[in-house]
Amino acid sequence: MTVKEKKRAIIFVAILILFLAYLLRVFDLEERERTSSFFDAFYAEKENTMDAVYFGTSAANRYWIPTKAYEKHGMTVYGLSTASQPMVLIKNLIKEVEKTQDPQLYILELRSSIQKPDGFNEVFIRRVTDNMKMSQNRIDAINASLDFAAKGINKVTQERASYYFPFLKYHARWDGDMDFFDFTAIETRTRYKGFWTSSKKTMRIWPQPEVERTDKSGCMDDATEEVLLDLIEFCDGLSAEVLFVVSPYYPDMTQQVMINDAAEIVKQAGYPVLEMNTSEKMKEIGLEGEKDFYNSTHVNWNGALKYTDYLSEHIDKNYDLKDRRDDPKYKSWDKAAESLNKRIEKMKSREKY
Amino acid sequence: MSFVSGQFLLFVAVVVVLFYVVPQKYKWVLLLVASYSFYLFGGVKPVIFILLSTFSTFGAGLMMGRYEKKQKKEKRRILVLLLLLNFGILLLLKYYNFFAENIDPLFRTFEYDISMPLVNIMLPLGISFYTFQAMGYAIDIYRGKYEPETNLAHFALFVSFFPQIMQGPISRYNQLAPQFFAEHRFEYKKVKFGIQLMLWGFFKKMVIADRMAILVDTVFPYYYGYDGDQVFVAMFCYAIQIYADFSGGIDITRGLAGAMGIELVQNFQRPYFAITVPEYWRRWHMSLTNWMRDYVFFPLTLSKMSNKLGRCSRKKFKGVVGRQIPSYLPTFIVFFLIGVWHGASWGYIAFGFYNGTVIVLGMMLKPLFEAVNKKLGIKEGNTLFRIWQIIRTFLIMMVGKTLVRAVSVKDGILMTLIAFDPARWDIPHLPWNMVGMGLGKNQMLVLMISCIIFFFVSFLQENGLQMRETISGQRTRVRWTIYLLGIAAVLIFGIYGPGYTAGEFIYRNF
Repeated sequence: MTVKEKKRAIIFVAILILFLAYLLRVFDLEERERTSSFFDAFYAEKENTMDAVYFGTSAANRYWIPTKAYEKHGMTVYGLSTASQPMVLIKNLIKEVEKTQDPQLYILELRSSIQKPDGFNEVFIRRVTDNMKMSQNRIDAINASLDFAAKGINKVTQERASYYFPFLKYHARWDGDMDFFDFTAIETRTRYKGFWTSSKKTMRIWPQPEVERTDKSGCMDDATEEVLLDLIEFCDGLSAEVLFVVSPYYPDMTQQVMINDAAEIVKQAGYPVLEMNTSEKMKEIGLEGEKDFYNSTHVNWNGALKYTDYLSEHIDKNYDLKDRRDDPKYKSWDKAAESLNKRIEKMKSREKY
Repeated sequence: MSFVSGQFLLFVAVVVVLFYVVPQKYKWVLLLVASYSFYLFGGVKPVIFILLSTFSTFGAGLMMGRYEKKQKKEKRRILVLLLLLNFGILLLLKYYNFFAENIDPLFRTFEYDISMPLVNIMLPLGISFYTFQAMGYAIDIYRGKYEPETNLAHFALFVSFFPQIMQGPISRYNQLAPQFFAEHRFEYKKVKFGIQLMLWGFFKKMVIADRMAILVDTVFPYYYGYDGDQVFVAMFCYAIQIYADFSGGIDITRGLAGAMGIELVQNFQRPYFAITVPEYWRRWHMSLTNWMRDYVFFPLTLSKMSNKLGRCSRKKFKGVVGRQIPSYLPTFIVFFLIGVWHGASWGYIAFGFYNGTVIVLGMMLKPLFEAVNKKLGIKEGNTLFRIWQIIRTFLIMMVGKTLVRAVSVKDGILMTLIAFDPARWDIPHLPWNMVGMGLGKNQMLVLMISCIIFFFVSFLQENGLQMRETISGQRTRVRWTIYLLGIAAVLIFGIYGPGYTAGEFIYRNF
């Protein structure tokens, strides 16, 4: 092999790697939630700039407005939640956070305790694992979630290799599931520090009839309980504090009982649980079923404002988080707040909403 | 381990890198270890059979080598025993159950309540290929073509060489074995050409064959619900599928061996450009056809009985027929065996009969065809006539392959009748009806474009163009664009991953 051939081979391999990286980006998970933009934004955050990180399902990223908490208290509580985020993945997400951040507090939403392996869906896992950077932690996350899913009746665990290499699955997206924007492969980052907005839902008002509330607990799925106990054990080893929360919504009786069960377990383990899913707490927060929800499980913008206001107040009182508002290192938070405010103004100005 | 898997690619990458890293004298040891490791992926039991073939053939070779040329009887005895043992194993594992299942009803017809026991052993990977390869070696030793191998490990590598174990080609000892021990230095061109051939093989297999399989698998079992033109399309697609599948697999095999500087024999020479059925068989699975020619056809036609028959026929029949009669039976036997070699089912038996009959009939009617052509003023080499001959040969082979792929021989015949019945064609609606054949519009488009590329490349090759050499002669940016597009085509349009079942190579099962 001549020197010229060697050089050419190296250049070709380099181009090939770039080309493959481009293909991986083009043929990635495409879903309405735009979860990749949440992870891209998270990975782009400056090191050690998160005072707290909030994990959970859509019951977290529709409720918690990080920029509003920042505007009011100067705290940087980032939202790394994804729709239907499996509880089994929170451990790995915390590990992922700790690679670049050193938060004082983790806030964990407990609504995912209603997830059973039987109802587990492939996309719950993929929203998280497909968007995590390749590492041993990602592999562990995939294995943990698939092992959990394997306990259910759904065949989520089929084609395990495609979770490690999502391209195996998404290469077939060319057949009717792509548009020009996909080929630009532009990395999009959410600008709102983990808050999820939707032009159709965020401003929508859908009055909710009151449901019967209960403080009974029980019937939590064994596999889910095992995951929760494992998560608690993991939390025991963390240097950061952990706060479990239950966001308010209009659940059926079974869900309430299961969440109460999870809250009981957490309390018994000695962790604080902020249960906001009771009629009294909802009144205290100021949430009204008539105007603060866009469906039975999620608050709208008004509801999110009230929820954030209440929770940030609680955090400010109980946890010693610094005020970052005048620190130039946190300028991106000012920008994020400005962007979100503009977006909301735009949404409000549209008549149909 | 499937050729279409990350596991295989990783295995290949490790072996090729190690091949150029280990010292020359250990390269063949590496290949032997790799071959048996590869084989072990299929389980431990199959290894017993390949070892049995290896030991018995090696031992028989040594024993035959000890006899003088004149001691033919002793050598023949050893050879016959060896052939009985090895073909016996093959027959037992591959054909016995089929025989037993079909003989039971026959017994019951004659009111004998006998039930033949079934053999419950998985067919060892590539048994048809390595058995024929090893037996070819033994017959060559018997004929004194070359000296027997004296090193068991060397011989074991010849039998088990992993790139070709799954689907051939069936190599000859004197062509393949010396290459294992020749000096192999890293040659950029060889590695590059090898990878290119593998890429082309993956394209044929994953983009064309496996996509066509979706259509074929949809239509073949329910052909009665489709129009004649749709059935025709499915039959056409199967003919292309099996070619793209098998030749794709062979390209991967030859490309892999080529990347290590080992040249395997060609197995295909664009068979669908053949103008007659015999020519088709000289271009399709050439290593098997050549094996049959050298070890079955020639011994039969040169036998004393054949000579007697020849003398007799020349006396009774004049002209071409008189000269050809002695070769009718060997020809029929060879093509029947080629059909049956592929598997144990009535479909393969019918395929064998079909081929044998078509070829013998072709030989018999050749003078008639020539006379008709002469009368019609059709000159030899006329382009239009040549195109007609190519289409005719393709259609004949398409029907033959349908007999194998259809649910049963009867279904194969019915499919053919439907496909060639103009009253059942609905051409104006075919573009819309195609959607109901298992592939959506986009998939169909990809398939058509891929087939055009496949045809175009084959056409250029048929006209003497060396593709890899031609690409190498292009400017760097052109070359690299072709490579990147090829890789992208396989990665994006290949049939693999969840939602698709990566198809096994069809010939792997033979």
